[in-house]
Amino acid sequence: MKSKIFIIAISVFFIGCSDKKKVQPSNVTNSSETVTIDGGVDSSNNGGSGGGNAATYNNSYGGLDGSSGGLKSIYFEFGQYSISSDMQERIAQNSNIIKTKSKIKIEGNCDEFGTDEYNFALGLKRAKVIKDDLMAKGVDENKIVMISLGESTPLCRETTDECYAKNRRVDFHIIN
Amino acid sequence: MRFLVIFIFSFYLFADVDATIRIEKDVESRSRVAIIDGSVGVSPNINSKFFEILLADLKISGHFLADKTHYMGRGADFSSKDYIIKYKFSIEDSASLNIQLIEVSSDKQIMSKNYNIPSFSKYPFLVHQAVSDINQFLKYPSISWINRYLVFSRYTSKKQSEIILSDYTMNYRKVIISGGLNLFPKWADKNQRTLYYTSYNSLIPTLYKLNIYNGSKIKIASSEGMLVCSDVKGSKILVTMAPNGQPDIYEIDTLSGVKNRLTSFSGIDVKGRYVDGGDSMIFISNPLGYANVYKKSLYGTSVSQLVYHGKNNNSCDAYGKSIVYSSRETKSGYSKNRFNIYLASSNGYNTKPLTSTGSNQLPTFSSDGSVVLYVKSRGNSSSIGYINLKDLKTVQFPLSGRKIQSLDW
Repeated sequence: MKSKIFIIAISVFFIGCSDKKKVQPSNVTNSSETVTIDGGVDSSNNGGSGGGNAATYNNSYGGLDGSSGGLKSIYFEFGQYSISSDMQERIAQNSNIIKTKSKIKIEGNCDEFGTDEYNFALGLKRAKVIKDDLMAKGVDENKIVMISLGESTPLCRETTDECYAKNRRVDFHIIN
Repeated sequence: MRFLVIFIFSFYLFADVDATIRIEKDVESRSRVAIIDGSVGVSPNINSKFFEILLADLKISGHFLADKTHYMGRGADFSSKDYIIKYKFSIEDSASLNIQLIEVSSDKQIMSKNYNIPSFSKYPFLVHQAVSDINQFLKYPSISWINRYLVFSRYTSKKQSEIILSDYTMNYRKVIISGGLNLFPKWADKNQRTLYYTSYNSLIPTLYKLNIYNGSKIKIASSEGMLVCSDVKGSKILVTMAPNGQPDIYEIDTLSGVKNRLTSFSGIDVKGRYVDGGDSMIFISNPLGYANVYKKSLYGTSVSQLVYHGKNNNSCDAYGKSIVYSSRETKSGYSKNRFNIYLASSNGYNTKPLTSTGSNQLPTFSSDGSVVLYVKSRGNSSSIGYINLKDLKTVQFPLSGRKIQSLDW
């Protein structure tokens, strides 16, 4: 590797000595420009069953759901992070299951509207309000790990209001 | 006469254009140039693309009025031009370019330079460097920003993304991080050797600093819920993180590791951007129930609202004492919304629109503050656009593939 870098460095030196103009990006030579990193996945800290690909979902809400392990996703209104009354029963059912588990992950999700950071924060606020509600129902705080996935994990890609609604949700996954 | 006035006003009001067509001024201060292509053995497709990039560079500089005819020789009458740019582009193992600048009034070659780049795919940078040099030779204000890398992330599938390097036209692209969910790339130094990005591949989002030249990376911070590097000032960075599940803006000194919490609102605070020399920041917050642009001193607690229009203003950037932001101007939350980009001073005054049609998002200043980048969507197509703030000239390049998640340049 060192000899390769040395050869490249020498080549760059001689190119620089000619009358040719040195173009800045050309300095990014073969050994350094194509840094391709394999995802940065820390296998020792990976998310168990919830950390990998999306699961196959049996418990559906309008035909789609993003949770696993018998838990049900909670859905939100556009741009909102308050829990609607029709979702209370789902949370209650989820809390009973979660109490029997040692650790769960809850993932906040958004539809495709809005931009990057704001959507991630919105997803997190949704996850947080669910976590707070679970704790109010007696779930141990230490059992819950939260993450926001923004708009990275849509369940539906059609351009309809119904489809967008299915992407504004909090998913639950049992870690162990 | 009255009808004529109404017609002209209506035409202006509903013109389906961005800033570029609305304002044409300073024509005389620009150099009129013709371009002669002397390349041999280059495929018509590449040749055509090369010429398009050259035209775009000249246009967005704001300093040239380029003839759009792709001349292949000197047979035409160039007496109405100030200069002729003659180039010879060749591709062998590498990409090479010879550029000559000819002054029409004296018919003398006043500049000639050769360029070479080892990787053929990087040939757009040859064009950018050549135009930047011609611009400098003619003593126009610097346009060196066109030589810089753009870095952006985009989703590829569920929980999968890639981070890509490109030139500003996106004709050169290189995936540098793939596999898993890696987002929010942000240049960590002015020379674009290192960048910050967030890995969402474990239970806890983690911010890394990556050297793109040797692949080494170091962990900067981690936070439950979310973690995003929003701005960089030397060794200090503004991040949105949520150690207790509450998204707030923090300043981290990456050398000492000291974290300073800058916001404490119970709603959403994101996208901090240093402004006014770094003593203050602008950011996005939602105390009124929708996203809007606010400002606060890094050292004080008072917060001021900067924008008083729009239904949802959820993206912003700052340079010196200027800000740009996107503003939703339609009621619906859904796809047919109109988002426009606005420029204002960092105290919220002197607001002026930069776009007028479509959905325009992710406004970002160039490294010298002279140009604003934005992502434009209309119908099913999207493009990346650039507005020169001096003369409001714009160029746009089509975007293919998935939606851009975040970008920096």
